Amino acid sequence: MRSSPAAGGPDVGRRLTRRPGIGAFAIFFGPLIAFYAVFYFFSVGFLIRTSFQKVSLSFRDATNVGLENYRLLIDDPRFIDAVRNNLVFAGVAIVAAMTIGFFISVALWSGVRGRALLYAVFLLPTLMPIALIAAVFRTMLESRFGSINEFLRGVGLDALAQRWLIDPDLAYGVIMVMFVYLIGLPILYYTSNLSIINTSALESAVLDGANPLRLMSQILFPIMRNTHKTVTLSTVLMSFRAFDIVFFSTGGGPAGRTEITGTYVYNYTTSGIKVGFGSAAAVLVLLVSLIVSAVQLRIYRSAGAQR
Amino acid sequence: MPSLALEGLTKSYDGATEAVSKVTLTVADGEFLVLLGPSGCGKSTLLRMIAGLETVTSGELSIDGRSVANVHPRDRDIAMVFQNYALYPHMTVRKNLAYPLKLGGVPKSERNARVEQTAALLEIDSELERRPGSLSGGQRQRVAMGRALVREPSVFLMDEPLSNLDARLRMQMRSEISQIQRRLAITTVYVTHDQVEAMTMADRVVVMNKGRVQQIGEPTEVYEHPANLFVAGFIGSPPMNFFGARCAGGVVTVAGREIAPAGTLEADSAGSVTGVEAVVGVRPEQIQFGAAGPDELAMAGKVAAVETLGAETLCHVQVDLPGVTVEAGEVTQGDAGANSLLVRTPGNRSDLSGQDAELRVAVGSLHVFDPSTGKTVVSRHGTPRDEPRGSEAENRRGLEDSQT
Repeated sequence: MRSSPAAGGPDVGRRLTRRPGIGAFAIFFGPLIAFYAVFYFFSVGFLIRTSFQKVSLSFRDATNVGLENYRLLIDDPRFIDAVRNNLVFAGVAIVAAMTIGFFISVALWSGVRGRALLYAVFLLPTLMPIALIAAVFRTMLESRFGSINEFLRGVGLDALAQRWLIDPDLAYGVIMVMFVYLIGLPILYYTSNLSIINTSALESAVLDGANPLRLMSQILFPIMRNTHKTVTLSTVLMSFRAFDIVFFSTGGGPAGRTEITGTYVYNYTTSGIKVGFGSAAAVLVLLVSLIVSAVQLRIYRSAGAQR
Repeated sequence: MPSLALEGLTKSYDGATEAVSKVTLTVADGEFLVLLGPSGCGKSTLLRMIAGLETVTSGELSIDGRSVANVHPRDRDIAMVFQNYALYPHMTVRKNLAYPLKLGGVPKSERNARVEQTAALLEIDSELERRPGSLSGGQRQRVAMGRALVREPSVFLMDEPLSNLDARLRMQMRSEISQIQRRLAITTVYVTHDQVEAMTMADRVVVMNKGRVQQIGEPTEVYEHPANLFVAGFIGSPPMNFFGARCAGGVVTVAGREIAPAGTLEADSAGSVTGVEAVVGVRPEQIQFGAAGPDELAMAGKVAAVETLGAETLCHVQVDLPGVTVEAGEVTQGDAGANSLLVRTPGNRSDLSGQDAELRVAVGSLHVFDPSTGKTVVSRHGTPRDEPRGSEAENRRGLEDSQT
């Protein structure tokens, strides 16, 4: 029997698949579009415009200088150093996440004692404001009265009490340690993946004769490929946004040794006179991070296609 | 010497819940043993205990005469096929097959030869450079088997390996696994909840329920001589019909007709709380339509529903016999009301729907069970059952334990 439209036949299907009206579209997407228009498109557009201008923080009497800001930026060794530092810190953080973070996650997942406490120890820093952590590090590492040096002197290890944030190489190392310290998020990613992983492949490897080291390196690590991808991408992007780690600990010093793109852009845009130059730096940083992410995604995609 | 021996093997969690209880059995060299039972009966746990993936709470486990209860899984010389195949997704089929050999320190040339040989046996030699993600379910299943076979282990364990395949492929793989197992004469313990797999593949079947062995025997033996109500109800599709019977004066009577000597039944059933004196079971294919002969029990009823399956028809016939409710091998309810019997008859008999029918069943094909213990008192062909049949002497202890 053919169902009539009144009985809810083809007409119902048409009604269900009909495109939503402009009213519904406006209600659902309007606020989102307005939010993005103000906070994203406008600010990025404004940034791009000022990057082609010579302008102060008052944004008056702007002069168009074309690509001059970008040319100056590329010729500035401090900017190149800042980008390189960003990539180095990101690299260190990725390696730490995929080794220490991965190992800690497996230990937590395998039911080690005091799991809840360890979770708190590793995850808490991720939940706290980075500025606060950086400030605490700075206080602890202060060369004269910082608790680290006080402790070292107290136990007779005076030789190890260093000028942590004053010596350029040590300060560089301190920033690396702080990037590693924020390992909580990768641990969270790994443990959530481990909680849903099918353990049969691991059991099978145990029966095949794999020892714990082989089990981790030859089976578990490769199986968690998608999580490595998430960890790598998020860590790279985090490193480009990690302004507060450096700003609140070394401030980019000493002598620009720990400068990253975030502090570089901040210094120029808040100095009040080279806003256009700072804007160009921000746009370039945005482009660099987009290119790095795109390259990573491409590598992963081609690796995935081979599988 | 048996290839695999289990003596009172027990697994308990928190010292209270016993997932596997006092399992005693032996598996001969080259034998295909199937652990069969419903979900949660402990069969997979038992298999994992043999593999070493679960610890043994108590009891003894030996492979080729060597005690292995406390030996690491990799040193037990066993291989296992998992329900979800457990292939290494990042390795090619070749590397999957070679991995256990590589870990075992087998030289590369020998490794390659054995991989090629196993791949040829399982007809996956053209898939060696592919990764598991690009294989079909059937091919993955073969790779999983190959990875276990390539090691040439003492014991081969399989945990519901066909449950993820479609019905057609399952049937094909059933036959292939049986053939390969027989050709290689490899001692195999196979876990399934599918009685068709058990009946068609096994040399012997171990029926389990609630962590305990219910019966061990050859497939036909378990089918024809179930040791208790659980086995009788679990083995066979459609399942056995059950109804209540009287038990007085040393004989069991159904519809006023004496069908068997009561044996130990009267003494055992004294404590029955359901009010059922005896439970009688009959398989659907043992009931026929027509007038009863001298050695047959006559029943009259009405065909309430008919299910036509093509080659055969299942008829639900309402009869005037006391019904009983049997759940997981226990009589949970006695019912004096009408009962429905399932009758399996050849051909298309859709004409029987709604008809009054005369039924006949050979008295010798009736099974009699004790309602309070669930034990079989009289098995079909009128054989008195004083002892559980079809299992080793040591298993009798397990059975007795399981029924206490």
